[in-house]
Amino acid sequence: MIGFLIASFDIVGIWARPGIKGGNSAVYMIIKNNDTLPDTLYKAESEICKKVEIHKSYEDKRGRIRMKKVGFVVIPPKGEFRFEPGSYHFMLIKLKRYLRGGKRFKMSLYFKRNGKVDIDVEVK
Amino acid sequence: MKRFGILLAFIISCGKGLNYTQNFPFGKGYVLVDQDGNKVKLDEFKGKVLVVGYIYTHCPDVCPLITENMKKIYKKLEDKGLANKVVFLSITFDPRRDKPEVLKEYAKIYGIDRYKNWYLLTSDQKTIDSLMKDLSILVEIGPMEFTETGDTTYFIVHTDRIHIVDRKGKIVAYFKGSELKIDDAIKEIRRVL
Ligand SMILES: [Cu+2]
Repeated sequence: MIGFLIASFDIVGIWARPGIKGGNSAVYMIIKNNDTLPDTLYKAESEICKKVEIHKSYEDKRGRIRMKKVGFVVIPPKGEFRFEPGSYHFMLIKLKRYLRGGKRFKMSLYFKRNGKVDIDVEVK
Repeated sequence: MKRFGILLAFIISCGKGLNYTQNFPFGKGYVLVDQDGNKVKLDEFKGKVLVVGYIYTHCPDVCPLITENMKKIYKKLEDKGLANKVVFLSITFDPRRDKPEVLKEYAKIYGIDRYKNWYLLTSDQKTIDSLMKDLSILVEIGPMEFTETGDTTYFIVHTDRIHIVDRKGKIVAYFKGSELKIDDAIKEIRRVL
């Protein structure tokens, strides 16, 4: 498992789903905030695809699965925020290359207080 | 009465399959296309025990869970020497994008291309719409989204489902595809094998 230690964060359990060129994928991770102040994650980017969006999957009243775009997420102080299957995820839209298991690529996360954070993502 | 309604809604939404007697739409002349581009009549699968999942390959979050769960069911059946007695179907509800070659790539990256009795099926929009309606799979195409470079994409709101079909063509169990317990599915399959 790759972990990233930045100023006041640990980002652990980073992985992406396989994906087809021209298709989509999703990235998951756990962001742990060791600080006594919250931080807001508001944007993500990657060279691997045309666009990265922060999404949440959820079930509507009719039992259907939907996804909605989320403008930002807040990482609570001395707490964590989980991006995991069936819930919050980073959506990689229109992949420029095939993502097969074992492949790695870079992604950047943008936080209000901590600024830009570069991470390494592994396809699983 | 109200409480009963809520309880009933709860039972239905949990989807275990008890007293659930919908028939798989055999005998209606549905013609689909598999991941190799071969025409397949849905009726060809009648008489077999089926595990059927409904997906679209551009779904990155929930549909992969459905596929992964079907894969887990497959592996468990394989361990018990039963995998060749069951046929797996992944049917797309996004035929506009999920052409046979796309389904073939999907099978490859999810490592299901080595399973000979696993068909990934598509068709024309009209056929798929009718098929999904017969199966009570709700599908709603979301709004077009744009990237800065002018590319477009869309997502689909859909029912999260895996069906188990017996040899007579009856749907004997249905599960929430992304969340099912593998052993529950195995139990239902063994019951009808
Ligand atoms: Cu998404």
